[in-house]
Amino acid sequence: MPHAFKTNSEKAAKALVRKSLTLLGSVALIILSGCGQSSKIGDGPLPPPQMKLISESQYRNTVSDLLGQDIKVVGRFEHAPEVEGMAALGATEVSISSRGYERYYAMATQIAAQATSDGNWDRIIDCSKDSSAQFDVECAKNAINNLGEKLLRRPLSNEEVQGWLSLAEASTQELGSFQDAMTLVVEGFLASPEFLFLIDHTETDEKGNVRLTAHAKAHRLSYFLWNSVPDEELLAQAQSGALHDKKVLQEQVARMISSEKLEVGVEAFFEDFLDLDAFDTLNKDKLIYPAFNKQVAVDAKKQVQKFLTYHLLEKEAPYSSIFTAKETFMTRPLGMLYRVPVSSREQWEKYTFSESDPRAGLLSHVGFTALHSHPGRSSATLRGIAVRELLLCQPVAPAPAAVNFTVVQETDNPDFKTARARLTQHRTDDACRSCHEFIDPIGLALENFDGAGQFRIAENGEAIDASGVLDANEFSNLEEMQFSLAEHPATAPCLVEKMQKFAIGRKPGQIDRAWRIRLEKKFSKKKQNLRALLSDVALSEEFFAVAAPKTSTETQTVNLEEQGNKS
Amino acid sequence: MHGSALAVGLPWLEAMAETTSARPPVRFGTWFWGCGVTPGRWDPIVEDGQFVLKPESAPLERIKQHLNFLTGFDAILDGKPNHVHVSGTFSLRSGIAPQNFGVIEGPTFETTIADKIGARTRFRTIDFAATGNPADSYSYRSARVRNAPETSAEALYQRLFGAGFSTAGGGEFVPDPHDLRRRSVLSFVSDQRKSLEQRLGSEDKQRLDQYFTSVREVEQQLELQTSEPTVSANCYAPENPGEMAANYDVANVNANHRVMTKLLAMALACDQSRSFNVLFSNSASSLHRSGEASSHHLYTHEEFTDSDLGYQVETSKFVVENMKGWSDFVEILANTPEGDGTLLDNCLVLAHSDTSWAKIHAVQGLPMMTAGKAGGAVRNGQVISANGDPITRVGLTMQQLFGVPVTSWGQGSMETDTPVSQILA
Repeated sequence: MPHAFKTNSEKAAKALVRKSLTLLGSVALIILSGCGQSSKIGDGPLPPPQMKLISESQYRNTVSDLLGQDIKVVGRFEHAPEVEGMAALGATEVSISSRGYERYYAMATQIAAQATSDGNWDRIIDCSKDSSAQFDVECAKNAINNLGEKLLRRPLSNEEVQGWLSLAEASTQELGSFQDAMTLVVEGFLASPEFLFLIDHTETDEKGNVRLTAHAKAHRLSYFLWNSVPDEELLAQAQSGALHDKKVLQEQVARMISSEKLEVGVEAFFEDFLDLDAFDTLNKDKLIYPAFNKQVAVDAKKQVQKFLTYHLLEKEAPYSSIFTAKETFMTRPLGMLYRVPVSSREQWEKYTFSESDPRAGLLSHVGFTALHSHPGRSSATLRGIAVRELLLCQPVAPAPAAVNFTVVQETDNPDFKTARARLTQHRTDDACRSCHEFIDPIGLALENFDGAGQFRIAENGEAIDASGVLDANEFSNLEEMQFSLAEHPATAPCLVEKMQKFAIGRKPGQIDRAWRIRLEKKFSKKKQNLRALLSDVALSEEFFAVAAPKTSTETQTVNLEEQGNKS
Repeated sequence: MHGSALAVGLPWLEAMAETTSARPPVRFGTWFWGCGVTPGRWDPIVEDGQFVLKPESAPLERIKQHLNFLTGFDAILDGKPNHVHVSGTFSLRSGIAPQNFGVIEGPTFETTIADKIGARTRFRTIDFAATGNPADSYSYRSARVRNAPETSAEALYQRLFGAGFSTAGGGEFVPDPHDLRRRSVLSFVSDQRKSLEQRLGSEDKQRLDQYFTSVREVEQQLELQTSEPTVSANCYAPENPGEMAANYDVANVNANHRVMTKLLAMALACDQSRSFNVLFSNSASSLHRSGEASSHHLYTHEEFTDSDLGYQVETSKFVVENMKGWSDFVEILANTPEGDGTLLDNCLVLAHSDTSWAKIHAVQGLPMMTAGKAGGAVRNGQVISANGDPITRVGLTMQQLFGVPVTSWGQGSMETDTPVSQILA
């Protein structure tokens, strides 16, 4: 939320920036004035080039799209920490640990061996003749150029190609196998920093402005919209430089938005947005919740993704509709938890909850209720925090260190049979009241779902009361609470904020704040259509904005500017 | 005793670890458990030169001769918030009380020891979490580079004793020519560093530096794999334990921990690494007993103090579970023969938790123990009572013992130049 007033320290910081700018002269001025930025970008420094750790799903999709769907990728990945609630932001701050690199290197070895095996040799290395023993310079050169450009996301220089060729030739001689030599080349590409990180390339255009190269633009687009590499057509537009043309860019974005691959990109966004990767390590007590097993966890995550892409992409329903929609998808393991019949043994089935069924909307899914619970019981507090932080972008302060929770979950206390009774008692403590009044009513509306997301009407023999108030709007049950959430003034802006962060992978700066307001207005005007939002993000000047890399002195200056602009 | 005085004892340890090949190397490791102990039910006293253990430390009876207890060391936060289950560990490990939740402000000290003693081994460090969760690690190179633990016995086995492990000696060893070529490829990859750096800002250059440090370690592994291994008499490849269930169920944690500790002990005996980080339970311990709705952590906050007994009964049982795990760990190292003694004799292991009294997230008197003699540099059988001294004294001591050139360590009120000299032999 914008603040109306600037503090004295902020003013002082701005004054210091102005002074620093004068001293630094033209170099800093070029950066802060945006290197001839488009007039559409608001005032403020442009972001530096990025170095973003490839996510697990991006890695898997990239290998599958470039080297083949049959290539097995086995291993554990380094996961970026969440920064401002998004792993997409953590990915531009994190590096790779030694053990992490060991794992990536082992994966590179396995993948390269498969990609250059007899069965895949012709497709991947693409030589017209049998080249398994003798060094074939033309074949090697073509493969290095072709695979290098795709795996390292930029054309290789002649010098680099020569370097890889020399390696391949020496390896062929020493190993007595051209095939093994090319395996090591592919392994080398996959072990390179430019494969494991998405690293921006910049260039200077004809007017002397710094911009992303066409290859960098193509990859930024494809990893945002498809969570994978550009296809041949987009790559061709990058190779020719046509992607710099606004009309071509619009055509490509329109094509990508209408592609089936968009679902992959949107699923990746919602995985980050809703913390769905937490399912990977989610455990439920098998004696308390015998129906909740590993397959349920896998399916529960996929169910939420299918539910969202169905309503938001296939039906193009407004974002607000996901809080009330009755149509979802089931597998047989999920059917056990939802207590609904699923006829298919293997397949997903569309399922519509009846009008009388209390289940409707995102929050009634196991992918929400079980994820935000303890292993052996529900948690109104965890669920309330999840709604505030994930869906409304409203941070909740951590609990104070020295606090007595004893009455909260003394589940066998005859005076406090339900979570509501226990939490109400807890709120009598002044230290706890302000936060719990902020989160508990939301979580208590979900108490009809136990820790595994199974429906229940009573706890310890007493009927569950799911009524409450969400920011001055009274509700009597979950359905009404979700209706309030759909209409909440922070709900749609929160989606826009997270989408923007997911797209750019940076903490929003001054130019991004003005941009976000623009995106929010468009999202509202276009009836909260997700495809339109994705298109608006991808076609914004800010999406591709970049400045020249900063030296340490300049970094300090720009940080001061950013600090001064926190308004 | 101050840092300068301690330096008198250091060259001896270093000399033994690095240059006297006839003697086994000295190793350093950490062992972590979550949610601390119950005040008054854990800290032992020494009577007639013997530990008198309390109910929660009773499981340590069988290994007590190998231990020191470090009590009364505080994380001093200097007005910064007590980030629950974080501030204590970060203060101990990095010497700095964190300002922001979950953001560590410096490398953890055991990484500096690993760099000092592990430069010539196949693995700089061997880390595992018995809980199956890759997020359960408190070893950091920097705020954004956390060392990633193994989370299954099978994966740990594959890393330590799968491809690349060799006990071939006596002229039988033939290097794999592919590994020799791999070194050339990685060296070529590393040559891209300069051109990449030109494209990045200063913060990203640091991230790239870390990346190439990691690449260098894999290069080093390849170097070692392509030269004839020096194999000690007690080194052999153990059986592959296969897949095991890994989660916070205390029965599974115990089973995983025992199997993974045995693999670690053999890897140390084979000198695959001289540094390790072991996690039995996570910070804010999620350990639970199957069928119960509450975990160790939830019990610490929600369980009533028994009015007759004066403590939280279920919480205390989980502390005992953690101590049983520690006892298993020390025993396995002590039962692994090495030279004239045991593997444990040539190790120093620091065990600690995230809080002292978890009920109120106290970070005063964080419970800590050491096990092992560090090749003779450390003596056992002590209960150190520090009466509120900064917890950084412990990290300083460990670093100095292993030859890290640091005379003063920690930030703010936790800056110290006074090691815990009482444990030195």
